[in-house]
Amino acid sequence: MRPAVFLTVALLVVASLGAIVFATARSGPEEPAELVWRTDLDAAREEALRDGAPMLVVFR
Amino acid sequence: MARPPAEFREVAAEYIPVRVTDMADVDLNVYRFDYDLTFVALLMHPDGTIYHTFGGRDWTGPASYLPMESLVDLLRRTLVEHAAYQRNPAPPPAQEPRTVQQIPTMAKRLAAGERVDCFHCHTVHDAQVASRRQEGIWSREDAFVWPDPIQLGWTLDRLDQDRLVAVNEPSPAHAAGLEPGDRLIALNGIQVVTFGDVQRVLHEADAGEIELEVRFLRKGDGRTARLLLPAGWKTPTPEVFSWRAIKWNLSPRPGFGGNQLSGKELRALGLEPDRFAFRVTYLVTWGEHADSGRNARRAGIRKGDIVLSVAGNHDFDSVSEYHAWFRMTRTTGETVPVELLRDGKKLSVELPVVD
Repeated sequence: MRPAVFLTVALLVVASLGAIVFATARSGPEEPAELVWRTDLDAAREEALRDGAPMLVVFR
Repeated sequence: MARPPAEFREVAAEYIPVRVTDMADVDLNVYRFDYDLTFVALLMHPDGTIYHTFGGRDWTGPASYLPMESLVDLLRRTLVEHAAYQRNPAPPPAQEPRTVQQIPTMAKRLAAGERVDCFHCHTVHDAQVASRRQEGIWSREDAFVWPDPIQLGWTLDRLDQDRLVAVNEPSPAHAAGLEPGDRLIALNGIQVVTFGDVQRVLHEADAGEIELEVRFLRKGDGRTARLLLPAGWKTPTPEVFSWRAIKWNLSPRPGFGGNQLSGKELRALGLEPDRFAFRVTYLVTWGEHADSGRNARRAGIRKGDIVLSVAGNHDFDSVSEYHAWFRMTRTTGETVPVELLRDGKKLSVELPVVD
């Protein structure tokens, strides 16, 4: 392989790797979704019963 | 509400999250908690079973037992408990719903056309007190709701809220052999993980002389002890009671209050900078307790006066503690000296204590 071709391929490989690392760093770990706070207690109970989920009821 | 951190959102997403800012129509037979609090979280099954209560506080501050790390840990461990409960559910007996609007004195006010835009949590306590008073079954001890765990003689860690960090001597906890570092498992057979869990067991226990069984871990070993609680064990010190809104329902009332002086203000008045004193900023001359303010005025107390002591006592950490102390320790019919500073001169007035 000629030195010029080798250098071009090497540069392309380094640039691609750099782009992948940069993109990964920017996206970071996946953020959990925003919570959807319910305000109707009775409806929330029905929903929790249906889904078999526990309830977190915050009074403030 | 400020945006909660990611670790909270991640685990809370496994729950149906509900936010309640108005107690109207809330079933008090299901959602039982300390209504003096400004924040409480119930982790529960939708059948009404409360797994855990998060959000108690002590007299040192509203956020004293509210660290986010504790809530996140609690949410995680409760998911495991919920999965186990789902396999073997034991719903509490069904009860007729009971709301704040149905408490007799509140029902009467509403029927008379009073408009209430928002029922705050403390409104529930106030309405309950007013109703018991009207029925003639109110006693001062009824105010001592959701006892602070310190009533047993132990202090819980703020992060690991099932771990004892201090045991007072003498106290029921000390007599039962509990030590700092012990980790609570259950009180009277009920699993306790948080400050609020302990308060729930204490709230539902009798105020008379009783025994409480406590199961705990010491260096990994499971142990059991019995706490012997004397009659009146729920009665707190004025300091412990001072933060509670329910204290305003107690009488006798001094009829005046104000703002605690800072060290700088005390120094400027020629007083020791670390002592307690407050400036009278109001006399209660309005509402149903206006008599108490008029009584204080007749005794010679004026707005702007600096209160140095009441009945010789100035050992308070806050004006709230002074209010709690007056209501818990003074007796209607007695006369208490109030030491004042007015225009740079000390004077003493005699305050008749009225109901």
